[in-house]
Amino acid sequence: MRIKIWFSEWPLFLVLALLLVGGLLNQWSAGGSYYLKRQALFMGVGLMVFAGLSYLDYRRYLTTHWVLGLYLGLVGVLVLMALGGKRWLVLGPVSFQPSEMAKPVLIILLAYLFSQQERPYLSWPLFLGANLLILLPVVLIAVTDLDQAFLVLLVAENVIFLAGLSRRLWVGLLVAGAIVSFLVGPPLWNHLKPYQKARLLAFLQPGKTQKRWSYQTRQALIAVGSGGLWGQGFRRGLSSRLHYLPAKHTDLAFAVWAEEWGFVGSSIVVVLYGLLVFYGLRAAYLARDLQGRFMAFGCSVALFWQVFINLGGVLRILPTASLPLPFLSYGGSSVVVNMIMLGIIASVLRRRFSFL
Amino acid sequence: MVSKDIEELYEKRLIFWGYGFLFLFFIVLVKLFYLQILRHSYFMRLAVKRTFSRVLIPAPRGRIFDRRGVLLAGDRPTFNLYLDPYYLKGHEDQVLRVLARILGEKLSVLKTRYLLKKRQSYGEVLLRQGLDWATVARIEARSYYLPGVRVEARPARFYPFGPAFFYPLGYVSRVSRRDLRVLQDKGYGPEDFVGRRGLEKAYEEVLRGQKGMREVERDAFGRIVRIIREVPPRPGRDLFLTLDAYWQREIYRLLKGRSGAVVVMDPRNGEVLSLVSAPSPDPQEFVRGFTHRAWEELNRNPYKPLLNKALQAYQPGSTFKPVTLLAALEAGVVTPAEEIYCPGYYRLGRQIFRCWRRWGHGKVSLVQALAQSCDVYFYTLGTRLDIDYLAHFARQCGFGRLSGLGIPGEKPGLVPDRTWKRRAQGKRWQKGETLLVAIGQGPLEVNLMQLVKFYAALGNGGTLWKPYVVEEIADPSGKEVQASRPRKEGELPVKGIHLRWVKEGLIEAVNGKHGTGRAARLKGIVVAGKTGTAQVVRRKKEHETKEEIPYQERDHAWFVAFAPAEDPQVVVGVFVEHGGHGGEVAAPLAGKILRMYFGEGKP
Ligand SMILES: [Zn+2]
Repeated sequence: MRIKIWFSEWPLFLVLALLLVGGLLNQWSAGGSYYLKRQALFMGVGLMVFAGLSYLDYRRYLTTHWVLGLYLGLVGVLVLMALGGKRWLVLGPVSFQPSEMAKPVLIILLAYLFSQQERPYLSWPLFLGANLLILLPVVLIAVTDLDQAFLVLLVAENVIFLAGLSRRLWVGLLVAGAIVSFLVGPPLWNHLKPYQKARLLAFLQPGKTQKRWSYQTRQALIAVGSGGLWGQGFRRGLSSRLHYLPAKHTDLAFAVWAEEWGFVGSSIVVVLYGLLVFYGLRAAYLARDLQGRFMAFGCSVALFWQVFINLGGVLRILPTASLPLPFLSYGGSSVVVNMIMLGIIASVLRRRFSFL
Repeated sequence: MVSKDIEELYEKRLIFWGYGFLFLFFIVLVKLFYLQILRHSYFMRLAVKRTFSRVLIPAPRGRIFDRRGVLLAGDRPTFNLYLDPYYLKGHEDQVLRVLARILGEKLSVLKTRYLLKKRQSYGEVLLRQGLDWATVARIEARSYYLPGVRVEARPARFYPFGPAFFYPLGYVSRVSRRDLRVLQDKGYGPEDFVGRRGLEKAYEEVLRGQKGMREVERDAFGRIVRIIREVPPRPGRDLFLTLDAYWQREIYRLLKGRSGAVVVMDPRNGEVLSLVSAPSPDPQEFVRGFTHRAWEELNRNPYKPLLNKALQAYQPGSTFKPVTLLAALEAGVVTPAEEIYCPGYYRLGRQIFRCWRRWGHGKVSLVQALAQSCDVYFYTLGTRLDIDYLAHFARQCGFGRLSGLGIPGEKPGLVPDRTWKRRAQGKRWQKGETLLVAIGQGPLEVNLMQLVKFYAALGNGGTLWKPYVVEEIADPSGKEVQASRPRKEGELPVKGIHLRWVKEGLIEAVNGKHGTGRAARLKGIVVAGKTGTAQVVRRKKEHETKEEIPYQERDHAWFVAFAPAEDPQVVVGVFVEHGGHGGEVAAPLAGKILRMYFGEGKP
C-alpha cells in the first residue's frame, strides 16, 4: 500500500526535481556561485520541510489550538514588522520574510473554517468573518510590501470563492466593489509610491513611457525575444551577462532563463509549472475531506498566481510586480514557503485513501 | 462524511478553476511564442544594437612641409570637454552650473547644447572643444564636484605660420550638418575636419587617410567590455611643397598694409617658390570656429582677405603689352626699326585714345615703346591686328584658361574676341575695342599666376612651364614617395629673335633712363620687367593727387620681372589692388624681393 502510494506520486516529485535543477542552473548563470550555493542550501532546507510535511497527517494537527496559534503568531510577527517598517526578520545568521508565511497560514486557517460547515455557499457571518481575518494580515503586509499583500489577498479570496458565494452576495459584492473603488481609487492612487505608479503607467501606455519608466520591462522583453527558439546558450545571454537586466536573479529570473534556453527551455518551464498546479488541483479533487480540498486548492492557487504574476510581468501580459518566481528566483523565504505549500499538497494527496 | 451533492459541487468548481488556469497558462505560452519565435529577429536586432557598436578611430591627417622640411600644417593636441551622461544622471544641473561658471557661458545655453548633443551621441557627449590651458586647469581643480566630466586631448589642425600661408594652404574646418549629408557616404563623421580651400581641399583625399574601426561589446553602463575586432587607421600622406616658408613670411610682411599678391616662380621648371595673397585670415580661426562678429568683420574688410588675389582675374594693364607686341611681330605688321610718332593721343574715326603721357613720347621704336610703355605705339599695333588673331595668340600664351597650378578657386580670366562679344553682349566687335585690348584694358582679365608663367616663358626662351607647388607626396613611414616632375605645357608660338627684341624692351623698362620700372633695378644683376597700371574707373580730372581718389577707385598696380635677364633664375609677379601706379608701388616691392633672392640667399 505504502509503496503504491509512493509510486503514484512520482510525477509530482519529478516535476519538482526538474524545477529545482532549473532554478539552480539559472542562479548559476544570473547570480554566480554565491547565489548558487545559497539557493542550493535553501532548496535543501525546503526539501526537508517538504518531506516532513508530506509525511505529516494534517488531520491530526488541524485543531482549533494549532490553527489559532499559527494565525496569531503570524499576526503578531507582522505587527512587529509593520511597526518597524521592515520586510525582513533577522534572527542571527538567518533572515526571513514573514509575509511569505501568510499564504500557507491563511490557507490553513480558511480551510479549517470552511470545513466546519457543509453548505453549497458560505453563510453571511462566515463570509464576513473570514474576510476580516484575511484583511488583518493583508493590511499589515501592505505597509511594507504592497505586491505581496495583493498576492495574499488574491489567494485567500480564491479560497473563499471555492467555498462558494450565493447569487445575492455576488450582486452585493459587485455593487459595493464599484462604490468602494470609486471612492477609494483616486486617493489610493495618490498614495502609491512613484515607482508603483510608474509600473502601472508603463503597462497602460507602453509607448509613451518606454524610455524612462519601463526600462526594466523593455530589457526583459529584449532578453526574452532575443532568446529565439533555442536560446543563446547557458551563461551566454547578452542581456544577463552585460547587466542589462536589473534584478536578474530575483524578479527577472525568468528573462534570464528565456534568453539562454530559448522558446524550448522557457515553454518546458511553463509546462512544468502547469503540471505542478495541475497536481495540486488533482489533490484537491481527489481529497476525501473538505480540509484537504481547501488546503490543496489554496496551495495550488498560490503557486499559480505567483507564476502567472511573475511571468505576466516579464512578458508584459500584466504590470510588473516585484514577486519572486517559485524556485527560479533567488530567495530562501520564497523557496521554503513554496516547499511548505507543495508539502501540504503532497500530504493531502497521500491521505486520499485513508480514512480516520 | 461530506454529502454527495456538495462533493460534486466542489468537484465542479475545481474543474472550473482548472480550466481557468489552463487558459491563463496557454496565454503565457502564446505570448512566449509571439516574443521568441515571431518577434525574435526584432528583439535580436534591439539586443545587438544595444550591445555592439562600432567606434571609429580617426586617422591622423597628413602634414604639409615646405621645401626645406619646415612644418606648415600639422596636428597638435587640443583639449576637448566630454560629459558622461551615465555619471551625470541626477545631478546634471549642479555639474552644468559649475561648468557654466568656468566656461563663462549661460547655464541655459550650455544645458540646451548638452541635451541636444546627448541625444545625438552614443555614450559620452562632446560639450566643447579647444579649451585653453587655464580653463583645463580650472576644470581639473574642481574635478571632485564634476563627476562624469572629462578633459581629453585630441589632435586638431595647427598652422604655425598663421595668415602668411592661408593661401595657398587653405584650411580645414569641422564638417557641418549640411555637408554631412553629402560627405557621410565618404566616411566623414560630425567630429571630423575637412579641407576647405587651397591645398587642404585639393589634396583632401591624400591628406585625410583612412579611419580605423573598433567593434566593441558594451554593457548596460556603456562600458566597453570586449573588443571584438579592430582595424587600425591609415594615416594620411604628407605633402612636401616647393614653397619656402621663410620667403613666404617675409613677402607677406612686405605686403603689410596693402591688399595684393606676389608669386615667385622658377622660370626653369615651374616650381612656385612663393604664393602670397594679403591680407589673409588666420587659418587657426577657421579650425576653432569663428564668432559671428569676427566673421562679419572679415567679410566687411575692404582689403578682401577672403580672396586669393594671386588667382583672381583683373585687368592686366601694360603688363599685357609684350603679348600684343609678339603677336604683331609674328603677324609681321611691325619691325623693330619702325618708329611710330606719339603725340599723346591716337585718333580712330571720331574717338580719341590717350597715351598715359598726355604730352606724348615723340618718335618711339619697339624697345622704347616697351620701356616707356607708350600707349599710342600699341594702339597703332592694335589697328593692324585682328582681335580674333590677337585673342588666339594670347590664349597660346596661357591666358584665358587655368594656369595649371591646381589650387581650387582660380579664375581663368577672360580673353575677349568677336564670339565672346556676340555671346556676352549680343553686339558686334568695335575696332576701338581692339585698341584697348592691345594695351591690356577693355574686357581683358588675367590672373597673376598666368602673367608670371608667361613672363617666365619670355625669359627662358619660350617654354611655358606648368606651375606646381607640391613637390612630393610621401607616406608617413617615408617608404612610398611620389615626386612631381616639371611639366612643359607648351612653347610660345614665336620666333627666338622676336623674344630677344621683347627682352631688350623689358631690360630697358627697368634699366633704361626713361624706363617705367626703374624701382626694381638691382646692382650687378640685370632685371627685365614690365609695369602695369589697370584703370578701375576712367577719370576725367588728371590733376587729382593719389590721396584725393577714394580707395575703391584707385588703379591696380602690376609689376612682373625676371632676373638675371640673360639666364633667368627667378620670376617675380607683384599685384597691388588699388595700389595706384605700377611703377611707383609694385616695382619697388618686386625690387625688394629680387634683392632678397640674390642677396640673402636663394631658397
Ligand atoms: Zn606715348
